[in-house]
Amino acid sequence: MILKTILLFGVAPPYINALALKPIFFTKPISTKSLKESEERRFNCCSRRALISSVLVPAVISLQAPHSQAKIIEGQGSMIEINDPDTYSGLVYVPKSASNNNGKKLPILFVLHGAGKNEKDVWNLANVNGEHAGLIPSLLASGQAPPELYENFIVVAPYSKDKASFYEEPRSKLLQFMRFAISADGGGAQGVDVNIIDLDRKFLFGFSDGATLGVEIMTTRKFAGGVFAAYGFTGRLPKLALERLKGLPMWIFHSADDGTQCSFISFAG
Amino acid sequence: MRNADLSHHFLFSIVIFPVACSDQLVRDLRADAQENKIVYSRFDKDQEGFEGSVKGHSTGITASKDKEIYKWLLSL
Repeated sequence: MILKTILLFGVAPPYINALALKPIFFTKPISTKSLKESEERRFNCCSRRALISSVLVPAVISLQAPHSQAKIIEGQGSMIEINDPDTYSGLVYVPKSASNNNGKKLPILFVLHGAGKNEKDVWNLANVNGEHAGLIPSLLASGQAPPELYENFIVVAPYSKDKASFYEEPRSKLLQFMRFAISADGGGAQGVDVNIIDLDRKFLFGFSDGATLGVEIMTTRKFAGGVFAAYGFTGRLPKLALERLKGLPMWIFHSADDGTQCSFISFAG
Repeated sequence: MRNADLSHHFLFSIVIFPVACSDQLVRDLRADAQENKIVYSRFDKDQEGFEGSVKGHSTGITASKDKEIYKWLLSL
């Protein structure tokens, strides 16, 4: 039997930067027959990714042309684009109530999208027909978000343009973008009223790749809580990571029929 | 982040995540938590009606439109 090695989790696993641990790879041998089957699964996975984009919610409100300065969501708030030349672009949503909130500060929710092509501009995140449709930015932009969200949270959604996901780049770059977004000379200089942000209530939301990354970033203990859907690290969290996550509130979402047809697999060359 | 020394070995990376990933995460977090602050919404089937190869990979949408998560975050 010809054996080949599959490296499950082809990317360096979480915590390498944050916790200075060595990467952990999970290996198992497979036959050439299994390899062919895996390649077929790979193809299906690619199709799956495309299908996710194609079957999502119908358009309710068409977005303005790319690079528009702001999108007003009637009765709810506004969304603008910010750009950090050193890291990422992103969308920032601010509730309408923030303008007459009598100085009350609002929590901020950072949204980390899942993997995709990400070839379009940052408004791709808010496109109800786009590859990230159905997630928080598109719900807000289309007026479909629940009031508990659109009335109470400032939302910042970075965009991994031309990268499949944030997983392809250093965690420090993402954290740098977050700092930029809430700083006076960063997001503040590009239209975000950073004075209304409650810096003690920074939260994370992540889906798929964004969830895996989000849990990792939670280990920095810079966030007061997080919501993560379809988390994807196949190994066990190291003890140090668990210590850093101790006591942090997290809400995990997953469906039992997720990933039953495909697996996260990378092949060694 | 890819490991710079190994990245050339990987021909591709596909990310579809089975529920076992979250099951393990929740077990570890709950085992280590001094007080239980971990909430787990584990669905038996896709809540958005996805079918075929995308079936099950829609919990990001389910969570995004769930008003309870925002109430929960506000309560923290």
